[in-house]
Amino acid sequence: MEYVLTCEKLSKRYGRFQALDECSMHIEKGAIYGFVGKNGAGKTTLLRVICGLQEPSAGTYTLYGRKNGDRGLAGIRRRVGAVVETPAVYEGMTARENLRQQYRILGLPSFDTIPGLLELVGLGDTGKKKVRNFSLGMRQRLGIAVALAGSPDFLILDEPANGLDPEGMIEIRELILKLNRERQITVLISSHILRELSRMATHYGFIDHGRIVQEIRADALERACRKCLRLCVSDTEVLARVFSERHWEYTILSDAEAELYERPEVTELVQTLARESCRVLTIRERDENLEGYYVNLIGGGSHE
Amino acid sequence: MSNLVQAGLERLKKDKIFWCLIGLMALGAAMLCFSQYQDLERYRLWAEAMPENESYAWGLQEAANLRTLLFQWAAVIGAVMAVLAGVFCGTDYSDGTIRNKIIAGHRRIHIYLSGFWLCLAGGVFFAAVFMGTALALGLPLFGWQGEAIETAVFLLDGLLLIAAYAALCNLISMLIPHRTYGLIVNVFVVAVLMIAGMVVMTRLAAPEFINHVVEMSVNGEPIPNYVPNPRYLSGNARKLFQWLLDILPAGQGYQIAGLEAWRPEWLWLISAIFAALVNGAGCAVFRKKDLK
Repeated sequence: MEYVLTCEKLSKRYGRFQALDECSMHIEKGAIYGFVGKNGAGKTTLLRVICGLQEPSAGTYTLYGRKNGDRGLAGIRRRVGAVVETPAVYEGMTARENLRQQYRILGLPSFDTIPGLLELVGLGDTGKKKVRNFSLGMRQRLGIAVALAGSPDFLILDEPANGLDPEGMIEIRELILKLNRERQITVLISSHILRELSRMATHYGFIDHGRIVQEIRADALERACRKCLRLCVSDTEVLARVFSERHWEYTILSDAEAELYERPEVTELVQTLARESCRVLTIRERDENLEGYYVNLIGGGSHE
Repeated sequence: MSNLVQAGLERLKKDKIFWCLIGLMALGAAMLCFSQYQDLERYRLWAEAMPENESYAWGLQEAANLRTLLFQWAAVIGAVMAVLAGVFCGTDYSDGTIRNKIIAGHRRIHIYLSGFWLCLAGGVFFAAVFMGTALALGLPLFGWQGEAIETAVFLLDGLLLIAAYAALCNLISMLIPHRTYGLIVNVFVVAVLMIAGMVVMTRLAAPEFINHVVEMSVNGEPIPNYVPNPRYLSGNARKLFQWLLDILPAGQGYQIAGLEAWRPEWLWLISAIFAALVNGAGCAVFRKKDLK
């Protein structure tokens, strides 16, 4: 497995506040990694550390095979583009001037690709309009354009859909998917707009209190969230035998609980189990999504 | 680092505050020329009316020389650079664009020093505009009577003074991650330095003896009675104040502006050491600074 980024027991402390607590993360090449957590869970802190804006208090991270502290890491950072917190753009400049600045910072020899980049993010017609007069969505897209200026292989986006209207969210999502599919850019997106994230992420990492609680592939999460019947019975051994005889897909959760991923005729199933001396105590239909999964995993609590 | 400096220079060219400050320097030079020309005309009239009065002849000689106003920028360059550094470098924090430089893989030391070079470039440009305006307007009016070597030494001192201010203002701007606070602290620090420089200069300028008039002659004219000035600094205290004046950038500025220095051949070295120390300290702190 080729990883673009791995973090091992990364910690960051501000005075007495432990923002990151032995956080470990693994991002595969080509993935769209949805980074999910409450406000204050440590998402932005981790992104700041990865981007070199802050030094970790402990632990390591490896970017394209280079550990933090290695001399070659600065060169590797050229393969990374990022929008951390707010889009980093000059308010008093136009979109084109901002990109010219970033091209100069990167030492790119020509400005010929600026119009194409502006078109890509949907800002081709902004002309002489200053960034201070841009809408939030336009700023986000310009921030992404600045991050894309160096043709990065790895894009880090911190809450890119924050404050956007539904149309703006769709535009950002389409852009991210396009970049991932057409340019094979690996994307790390932190967000708490889970519905939006679930439409593009291929992998998820859940963070809580500065720790990665779980990393899971989107297909595995989909399987975990798929529709099923959750049965509470008096004897799961009998239940398993009955299900196996019928070649049904199921998961035994405990001595009393099981999940069935089929659509049986309930009356017939209950009668069959009754004949085998297995009482059905409750049957509930479960239809979980990313939000439900996240709440179950983190344990609810207040989050936006 | 050259990429960062080039990007910064391009941004500087579009910066309105920068052009306002340039305009102020040009206006200041023009006003000084005009004021000195008025002095020249006044002294000329007085000197013609009272040729025996030596002070009028001396005043006429001083007012008829461009040399006395060419370096006046050195007295105020710190304040102008404080505003430039506060606004220009502070924008990188307020707009968050300093992040782009780090994410793009630039080393922190390069980011820090590019700020210094840009402040230095801005300061040199301010001085050049002032001197250019003064030369353009002043040469036809006053002519030139300065010594080339002395002027060159003060020019070198002035250049390194700008470097000292650039280091100081850049340090403040890079370590305070808030544009407004950075600007306020910059202006405050430079103002304190200017006041301190003025106090030291005033103490050093105190005459050794003062005319303490206690008696009048029979025809009502005061009889001069020179007594030692209690505010006059002598011995080690005088040496200490002279060093203070040389070390304080504002003190150097006043000396360069007046083209009168105790050690003009050392001022540039003191400024260079000051700039190097401040830049070294700034780089060390900025390397470990948490950025948002």
